Amino acid sequence: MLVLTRKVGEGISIGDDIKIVVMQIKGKQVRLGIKASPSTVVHREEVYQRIQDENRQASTTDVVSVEQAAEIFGETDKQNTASPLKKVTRVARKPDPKKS
Amino acid sequence: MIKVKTTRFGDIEIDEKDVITLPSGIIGFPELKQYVLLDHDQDSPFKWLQSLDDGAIAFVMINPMLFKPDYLVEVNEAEVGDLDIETEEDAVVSVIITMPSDPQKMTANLKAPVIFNLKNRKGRQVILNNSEYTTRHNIMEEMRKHSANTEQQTLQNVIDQAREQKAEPHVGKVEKK
Repeated sequence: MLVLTRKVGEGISIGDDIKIVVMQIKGKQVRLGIKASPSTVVHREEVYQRIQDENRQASTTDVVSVEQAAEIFGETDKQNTASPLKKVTRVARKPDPKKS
Repeated sequence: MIKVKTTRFGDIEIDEKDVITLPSGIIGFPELKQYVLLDHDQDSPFKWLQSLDDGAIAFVMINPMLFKPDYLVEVNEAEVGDLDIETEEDAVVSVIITMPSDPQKMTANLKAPVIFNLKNRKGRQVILNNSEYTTRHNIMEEMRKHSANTEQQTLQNVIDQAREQKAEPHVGKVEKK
């Protein structure tokens, strides 16, 4: 792993279109600003990790328990075909070193 | 036809046109990209997202609207751009179920739904920013919450109606705004 030391206001570039700037250091917390192209998906590591763990556990489900679960579900409304999907435009996340 | 050995369903034969591609895989399984959706059985609300690359890997999926009708998936172009979704009707949102030994405690991952484009049969698991959603929503609890809400609403409607009716004779023929 590459390790670099940076001060507040300084940053690093990853490739051509990713920039990470140290915005603020407060005790044990560091505030980072991330500037990347809209096609780059950025998430907190622990969220990503949690989903990975959940998926691993979900991938081992056996057929019998799903049958039992289906019985519990019973006569729920299977007609609800409305879509929850909503496309939004990306909220701009511009790092502004002056603002904390 | 593609033949796949699966641990749950034995040897299955898949028509190539039924193959679903997840270019980035499921989070944690980036190397598994080819899947097929199998009905658990006709009346069951569950479907299996069976990996074609690894017969031992399959995910139980459900339509989230069945237990959480107010579920909202907000995504931006960057997250679903590679699915080439033209209209929202082409998109289907499914969530992955985690099944503990007691099925009453089954949970759904509302934090990371899987979006499919029915037209080109591509899919992607996305991560939602909405902090209200977690990786483990108890489905039975969500259903109870929902039905309690509906009951409350119905009750409120009855009360409102009763009020209106009561008010009516006093209003007489005065025009309502």
